[in-house]
Amino acid sequence: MPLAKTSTGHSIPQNPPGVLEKARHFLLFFWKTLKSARDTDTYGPLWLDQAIQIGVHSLPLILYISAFTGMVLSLQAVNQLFQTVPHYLTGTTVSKLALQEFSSVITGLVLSGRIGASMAAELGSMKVTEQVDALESMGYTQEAYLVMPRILAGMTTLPVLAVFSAMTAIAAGWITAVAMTGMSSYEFFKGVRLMAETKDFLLPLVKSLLFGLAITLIACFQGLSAEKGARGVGQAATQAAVFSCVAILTLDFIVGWVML
Amino acid sequence: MNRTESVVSLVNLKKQFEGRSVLAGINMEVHAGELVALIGESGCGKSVLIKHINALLRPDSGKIHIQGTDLNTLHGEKLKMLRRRIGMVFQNAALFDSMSIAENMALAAHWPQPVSAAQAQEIHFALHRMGLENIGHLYPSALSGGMKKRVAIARALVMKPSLMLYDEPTTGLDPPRAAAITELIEMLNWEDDLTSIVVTHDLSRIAAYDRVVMLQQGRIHFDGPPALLLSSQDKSIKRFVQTSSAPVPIEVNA
Repeated sequence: MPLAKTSTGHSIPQNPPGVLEKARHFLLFFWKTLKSARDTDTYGPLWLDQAIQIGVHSLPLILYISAFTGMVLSLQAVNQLFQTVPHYLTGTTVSKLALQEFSSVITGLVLSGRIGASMAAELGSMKVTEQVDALESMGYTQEAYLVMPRILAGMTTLPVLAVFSAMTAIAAGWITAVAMTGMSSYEFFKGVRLMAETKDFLLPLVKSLLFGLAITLIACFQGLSAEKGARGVGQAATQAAVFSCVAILTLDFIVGWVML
Repeated sequence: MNRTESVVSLVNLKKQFEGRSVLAGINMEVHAGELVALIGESGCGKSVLIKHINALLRPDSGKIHIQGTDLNTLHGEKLKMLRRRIGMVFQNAALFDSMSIAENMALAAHWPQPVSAAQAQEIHFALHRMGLENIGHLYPSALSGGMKKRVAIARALVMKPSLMLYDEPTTGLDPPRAAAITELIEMLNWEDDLTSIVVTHDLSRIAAYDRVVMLQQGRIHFDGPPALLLSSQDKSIKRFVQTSSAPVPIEVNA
């Protein structure tokens, strides 16, 4: 396929590329981004703004969804287990699922839609209006100025958001269990403590770091590959959200498989 | 400034997109202090050519030397340093729309935020030279097309470049504003000891340039002083000059 090479050596496909071609561009993009890690002077001052954009602005939505997830988990645990197993296992079920699974996955999926799409749209819009070219012409690289701050922000805020998500889900699950069944708080938290292990904290940490990387990297790649005006920007945003969701669920399984 | 020094040297430059040859062997030399107009029909490769000069595009083959440095061999830090000596004004200004005008200019100059009083003064002065006052706090969306172009020029100038590239700086502007921008480019080239290459369709002020280079089908069809272009008997040049200078006729169905 004919390709146009940009200053940074990216190959811009002139026809819609196939899956293998796109995968090759993605890996090349990832490699260039890793190489830009040396340019700390450029991305160092920028990541905090991005972290606030990703973290602080997403927190209310994450807390809301996590609270209802915790409530539903508790509801299911009570309905499925209450007649057959000790009551405190409700606390175990809610905390295990919230910590190991839902906190990082919910945070990742929410950020895919909220951050992934908007990041891709922002960068796509910059690309089609030549702002990315302007940036490069001033002696910056798109990887150091645009991609690295977003990746760093994603990888640092996602674990923090996942902690908030897990705490909210457990708290909401506890309130639901106590309100629905009359079980004591002591019993619930006995269950939480009973089977607690290092993995409960390590697993969501690894997952959320990887999810943060995947969401931001995919969003930046899609945005900076956008072409053909507003339509291309729209496509980039949609694809960023869809591919991020697919990546999160795939990574969730792989990490779980390796670590559990 | 040594007027015989070669600032830009292009040797047999070739570039294809989707198998279509856009640049088919360009040989061109631009000397220090020259103000060169790059003209030609839409799609003839003018913008592609100037994007090669600051390595926003890489050629399929051929050599590009900027002040004696082979651009094809430059990557990473060395390329970034070279680019900081080349100012570029894009067709639609390409101002960063999420930043104020002052922030746009500070970014171009690689000044960290917040800028110092001396840097703020420099931004103010650069805008003042463009005839713009008290707009540093505004965002690009609040500016007219002509103002955006002036800000884009000011933004390029705070980099203190020795070479300026303008990609259709007068496109989309009404004739008085287009003339004012061309005058500004001419004045800056002289006052700041710049070398400038201007992609333009506007032949009404072509006499302001030292030299005109006309591209046709990816090759240089004409390279010489404006007077020679305007008096040329070559059919394609005559047609281009006539169509570029004459108002576009509008057909009205009765």
